[in-house]
Amino acid sequence: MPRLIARRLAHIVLVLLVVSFALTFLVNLTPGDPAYSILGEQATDEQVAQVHKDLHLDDSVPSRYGRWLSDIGEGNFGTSYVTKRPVMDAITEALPATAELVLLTILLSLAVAIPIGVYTAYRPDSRFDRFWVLVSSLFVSLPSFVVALVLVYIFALLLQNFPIHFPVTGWERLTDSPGENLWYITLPVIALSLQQIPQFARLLRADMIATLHEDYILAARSKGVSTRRILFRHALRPSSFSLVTLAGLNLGHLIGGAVIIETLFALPGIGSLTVNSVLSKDIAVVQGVVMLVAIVYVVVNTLVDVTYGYLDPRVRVRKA
Amino acid sequence: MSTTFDASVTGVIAPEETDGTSFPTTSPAPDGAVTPVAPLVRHRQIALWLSLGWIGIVVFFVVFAGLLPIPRYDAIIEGLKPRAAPHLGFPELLGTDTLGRSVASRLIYGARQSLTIGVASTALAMLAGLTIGSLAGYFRGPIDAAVSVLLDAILSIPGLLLLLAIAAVGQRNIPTIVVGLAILGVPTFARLARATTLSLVDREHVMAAKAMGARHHRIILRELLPDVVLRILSYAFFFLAAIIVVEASLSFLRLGIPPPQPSWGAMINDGRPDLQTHPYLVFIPAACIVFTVAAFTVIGDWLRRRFDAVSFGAAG
Amino acid sequence: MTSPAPLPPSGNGEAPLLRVLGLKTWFRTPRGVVHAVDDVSFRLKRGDTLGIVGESGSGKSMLARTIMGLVPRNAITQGDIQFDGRDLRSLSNEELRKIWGCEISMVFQDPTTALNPVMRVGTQITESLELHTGLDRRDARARAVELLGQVGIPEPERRMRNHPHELSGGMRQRVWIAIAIACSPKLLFADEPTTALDVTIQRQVLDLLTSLQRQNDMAMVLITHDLGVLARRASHIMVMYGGQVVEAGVTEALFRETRHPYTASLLASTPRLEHSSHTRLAAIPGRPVDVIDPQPGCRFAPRCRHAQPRCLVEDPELVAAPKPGHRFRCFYPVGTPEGDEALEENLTKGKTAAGVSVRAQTEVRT
Repeated sequence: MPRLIARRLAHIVLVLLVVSFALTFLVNLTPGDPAYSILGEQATDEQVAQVHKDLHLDDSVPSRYGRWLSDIGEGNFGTSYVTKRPVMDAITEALPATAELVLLTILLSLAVAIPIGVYTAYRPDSRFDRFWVLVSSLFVSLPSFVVALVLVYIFALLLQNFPIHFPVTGWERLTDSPGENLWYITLPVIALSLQQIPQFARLLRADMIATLHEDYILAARSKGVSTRRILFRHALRPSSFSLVTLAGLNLGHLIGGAVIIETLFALPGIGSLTVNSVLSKDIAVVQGVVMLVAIVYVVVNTLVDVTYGYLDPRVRVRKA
Repeated sequence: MSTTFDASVTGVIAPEETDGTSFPTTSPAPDGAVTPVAPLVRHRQIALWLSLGWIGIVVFFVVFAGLLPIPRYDAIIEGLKPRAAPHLGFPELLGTDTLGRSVASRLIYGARQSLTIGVASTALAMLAGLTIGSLAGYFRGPIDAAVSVLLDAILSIPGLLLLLAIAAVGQRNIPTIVVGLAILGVPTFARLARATTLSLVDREHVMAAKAMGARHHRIILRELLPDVVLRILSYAFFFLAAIIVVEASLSFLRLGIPPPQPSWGAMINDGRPDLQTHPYLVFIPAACIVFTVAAFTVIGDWLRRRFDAVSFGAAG
Repeated sequence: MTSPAPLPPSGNGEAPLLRVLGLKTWFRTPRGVVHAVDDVSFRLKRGDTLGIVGESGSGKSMLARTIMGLVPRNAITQGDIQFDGRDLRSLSNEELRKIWGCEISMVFQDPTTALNPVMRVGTQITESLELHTGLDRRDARARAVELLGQVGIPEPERRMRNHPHELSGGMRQRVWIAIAIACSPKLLFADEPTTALDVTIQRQVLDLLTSLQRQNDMAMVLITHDLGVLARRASHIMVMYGGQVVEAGVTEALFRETRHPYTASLLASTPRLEHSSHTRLAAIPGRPVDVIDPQPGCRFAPRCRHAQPRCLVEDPELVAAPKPGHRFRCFYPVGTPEGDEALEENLTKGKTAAGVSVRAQTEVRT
């Protein structure tokens, strides 16, 4: 067992090293001189030289890389070219919005997908099942921003006459005003969920169908257990391992992957931060964000693997 | 339990009450044997033909765009207001955009861009992925471990984010975008290639070649690759579908190929302010994206069912 | 269809606990109609043991499931099932669910797959108890520990918290038996309860079942492919082949005055202690039949040593043998002049009417 853990850790560390090295290299690839992005076009040569010294832009790649790594070790992800504030600050400001969006999305998606998955596994090829297959294939093909735009169109514009109407863009902090906050986040969460739900439901359906053929389901039935109890108490848990894994992975992925939705709905999250930084050529922020996202994703991945082992008692035995 | 019955005997959750139907003494007539599969298969075939049809239309327009009697994509149409709605009379079937340019023309040239970029990056990703994956699967050992680290590094960054990073530093031109998109696809192609290679390496014809002293590259090229490519073809279409979305997303964020070159994603973004009053400005290019993505997905699905039950596991 | 064959007498004038008449279970599949259970009838008294023997595919498992009502959704059933005065086929799912686990229980062949791998053993027992006996959580748990002790599991308290994979095969089967008898059912179907277990454990489990039977006055249907097991434990035996009953009767009659060639082959192929070592086992040639759209003719004919041309075109009916309750389905039965002649003829010709070659076998003492 310890050997497996060691190997896993080494792998993770190597992966992160590769990512961070690629990011360091990023600066070299930028056309033009980053100093001008920071100082503006009117900078004097002295100012440019000063910036180069401050940011160690003249150093070789390996030494810059080393410096970057040690900085990260201290929690310093760099300084924004544009705002001059630490990148970490920008990230912590942007994180709540994204975190809330992603968490609510996964929760809502599971809440909807699980009953659908269970029912369509219980009655495969029923009318609902076939209808659902069509609908979910449709949603899988739709890019997220198309879904979002359709939602915006329907809710925000057609319902304008009604007293209830969802504000399309905007944001209020959860701590400042919970009501407003939930109002604003509803449409984005729905838009993102419509992409997750088909994946989850399909996975659960496949696993459940396999489980329902198992002998222990027949045996439970012979005990006189009710259908509902069999579905949710006997069959769901053994079938949900892949689902939980996928939910965990998607959660990690969505942190950086909700860019379009954030931009569309003007949510001040990590995605918006990145887009704005790219547009303003603030490479430092882009570097910092990507590095952080990679770390988070790798950590979440590992957590998911560990949790999987915990959930499935059979796997525990095999590993022992 | 009994092993005589085949897979059509489904689970036992709900025994239905029998109503004393009379017993068939012979096999039921061919149409009487109701297998739930039948209507679904028909649906799939219709979907496949529709998809091929749509792709055919798109390809036709893309290839012959220069020869068609349509205005240039950056030309302002005389005689028509901007944001004109689509109508069936000539000349502008699909209306005009916010600046008064021909929507139809921009759609076609946008298609050309999307498809070119899509196919190019898919091809590049396949090439790189197959190479890396096959080598990893064939040689195993340290090469495999190194490749695994590399692939995981790529996978640890969400696609769009990775592209944003590339867009931040690179030029906004076709080669950069193609390479960036291709990087997104390398991990999965490589994984598939590796898995297939691993499963094929022990097959007879490979061992025979080894026994005859064939050199490594010969084995890889002649014995393994054909099988690998066939199995991966279905994923190529799924990837193509996804790439079209990513490219559109990039253009939507104004980080793709700069104007005046048209792109479906950019067209959607342009139409956004007028969503309430002129929804077609947004939804016509959106529909194109959706149809194209769906079409490639269906084709990829068909290929998967035909050639590749192995890599993707049991049909869901 | 077939005229109802004479059933074993009920004796004591007491009404039988279970009475099955003309039971059929058919499936429509893409390959044709599968005749899993074809016209089976029998009676079972309270506390009695009926043995059902046959190869896999003979329909014995599906028979048990049909009687309980646990058939797949595409099954068609017909016939009459009377249990404790009630018509089982007329009951709704809800009413059936009250009976399952409570009055009729089933023990399955493979205890490893019959137990839910992610649920604790204790929970799987208390679930049944809480469902059928209305005990509350604590009482149910206490009763469950009691039951585990009853079935011979050491340290029952500890075992309650285990998952199935932490127990040995024999213990898993005992746990399942505990679940099955938790509510003192009147009837227990034991579907090959020992097949998946070690030989040494098999006898223990069977003895356990028998003792529980006696304690609770429980009737049992013991399904197996091993005729030897039934010799001492079943009062009546039913031999099934291809979904049909080919021979049935009181155990002693079946063993002493075997009529159907299949039964005789089964007896001959059972290894016995009395045999000298290296006695060649008389295996039955061919494989079990797949009963799809059966053609007219005896279903065992393709493998029967007695087979004559008549067997290939006519369906044999169940007829009575001398001993009361003994019935069989054969034109040229063992131990009769017609049967002996048929066998002679085939031996001379070197093959049966079905084209299977025959050789003389060493007669085995029963």
